[in-house]
Amino acid sequence: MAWFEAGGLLMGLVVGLMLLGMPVAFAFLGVSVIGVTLYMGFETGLKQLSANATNAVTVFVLVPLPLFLLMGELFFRTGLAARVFDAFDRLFGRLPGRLSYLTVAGGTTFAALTGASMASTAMLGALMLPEMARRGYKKHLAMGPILGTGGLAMIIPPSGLAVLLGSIARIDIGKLLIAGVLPGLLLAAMYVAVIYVQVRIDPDAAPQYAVERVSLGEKLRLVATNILPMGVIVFMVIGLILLGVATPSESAAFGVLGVLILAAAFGSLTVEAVRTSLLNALKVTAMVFLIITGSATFSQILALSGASSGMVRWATGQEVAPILLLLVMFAILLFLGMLMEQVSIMMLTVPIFFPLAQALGFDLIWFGVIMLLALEISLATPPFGLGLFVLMGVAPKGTTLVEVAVAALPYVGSAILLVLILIAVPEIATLLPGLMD
Amino acid sequence: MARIGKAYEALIGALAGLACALLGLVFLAIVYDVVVRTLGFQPPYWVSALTEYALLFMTMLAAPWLVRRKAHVFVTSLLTVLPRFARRLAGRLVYAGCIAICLAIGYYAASMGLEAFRLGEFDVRSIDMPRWLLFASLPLGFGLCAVEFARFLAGFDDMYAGADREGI
Repeated sequence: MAWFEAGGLLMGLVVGLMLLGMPVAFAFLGVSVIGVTLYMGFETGLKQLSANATNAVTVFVLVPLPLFLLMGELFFRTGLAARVFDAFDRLFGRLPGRLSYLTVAGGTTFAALTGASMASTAMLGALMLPEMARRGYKKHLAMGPILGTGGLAMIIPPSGLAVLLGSIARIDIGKLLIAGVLPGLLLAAMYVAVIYVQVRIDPDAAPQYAVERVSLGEKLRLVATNILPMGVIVFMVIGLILLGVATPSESAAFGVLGVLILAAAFGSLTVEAVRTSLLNALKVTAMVFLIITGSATFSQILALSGASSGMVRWATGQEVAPILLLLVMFAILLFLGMLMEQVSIMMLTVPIFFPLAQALGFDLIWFGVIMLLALEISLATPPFGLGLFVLMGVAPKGTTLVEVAVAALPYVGSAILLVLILIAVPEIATLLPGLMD
Repeated sequence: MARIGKAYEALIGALAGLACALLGLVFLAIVYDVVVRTLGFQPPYWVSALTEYALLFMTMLAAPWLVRRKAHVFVTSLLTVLPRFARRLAGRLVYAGCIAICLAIGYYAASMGLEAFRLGEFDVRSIDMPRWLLFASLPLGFGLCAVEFARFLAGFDDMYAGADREGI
């Protein structure tokens, strides 16, 4: 079978099974069963698949994923997230569009303390949407910042998705995590700029309202008690990796420890919060690890059939500028983002895109950041962006998917602009990882 | 019959509880490792291997619970535009396919496990793990997943009704 036939068959089958509604993990497993049968014979292939399944997730580099998820769950369930948010709320004075800015500030902080963009989006939505509706904010200024900022958790470390991407693409996870810091912060700044412009164009979109005055002393106390301690956790995760003191797995464990200590110090650590956090972290971890288990053999078969190398040879053999191929890959990611969720997109594309990026001479850490940005955008692309549905779940009754998607547009545009900036100035992504060498 | 159902549900829950305990153990083991090392003592040799194996057992122990909780992620793009009967048919095909996949992998993993047991094979890392134990997690996880999908196929529940929309 020619490489393009094999690649087309395998990719077509997995996408077909997914579209049929088969759970993603089982779609990959099913196609792996078919693939190994074709290339190795049923019995030998199934034995190989079973052996792969015992090895696929037993790798130390995947340890940060459940721990980052646990850290995020604990952060939300022990009330620490609400505490940070309240502090920001009182610190922000009488600013036009203050609730939108507050969303970006809170969401960026959540992103630096959790690895889960879904949880972040849900939390921001549940906290902010009712308040924004009460204050007369127009929908685009209420929902847009939430969708945009929720996705920041994918880029700003600790990012569960970055751990996953690093492990399956076999690139340095610590560096990939750190590479997301500057682009993530830049993106947050762009969101602030979008809000500023939107409020300037239509001041009625964010009506001003009286805000309780907070004295300077009170503000300093809030910063010292509610915000600075979170900075310690951020340092324990990002700082320790950047300084080369701890591996991502170790810093993730210390992130969990930090959240536990803080929650205990604030008197909000309960057995129920720990139990629910463990269960929820387990739920996402096991779901993702089963997908990895399925896709491990899938990418092996893709390689064995010659589809991966054939695709790379074909693409690099064209008289096309590498940058154009990058844009094509980016467009494919955006297209897939309209149909499926992030982990599936990653598993489908990484076995081909990363060898191709390497053959084109791209810095793989930089390419990883671009890919994470594409995945972040796909949270908010209709008709099936997961973030849209999460927000719909907490939005006031009567909110339509079109309204949410339109509200997200300027933020999606910001992320696309950031990709273009990263192409022009790759150092934004490569500077910090370069310091780790 | 109801009693068996209850006991089985408790088993699924208990396995998930065990997986949670493993997650907690991974956290504690890594913190212990770093603290011991930072204090200048010899770090424990078993931490990295133990955590790696825990990831597999965690996944397989939680797998049937995930199906029961409808927590697997699936694509709804096509399903939403299909007419009701076609959606039901697609669901049946999916359940049957998943059962076949689980049984095939479970069966061959079990046979690999038995062979590894007979040959006394070990997976050699910083601790030596009997290879059969690794394989044994697969028939357990996938076997119970097959039972869960069979429940859907038999009409006791519908995987697509009230499914979680989880993600990272």
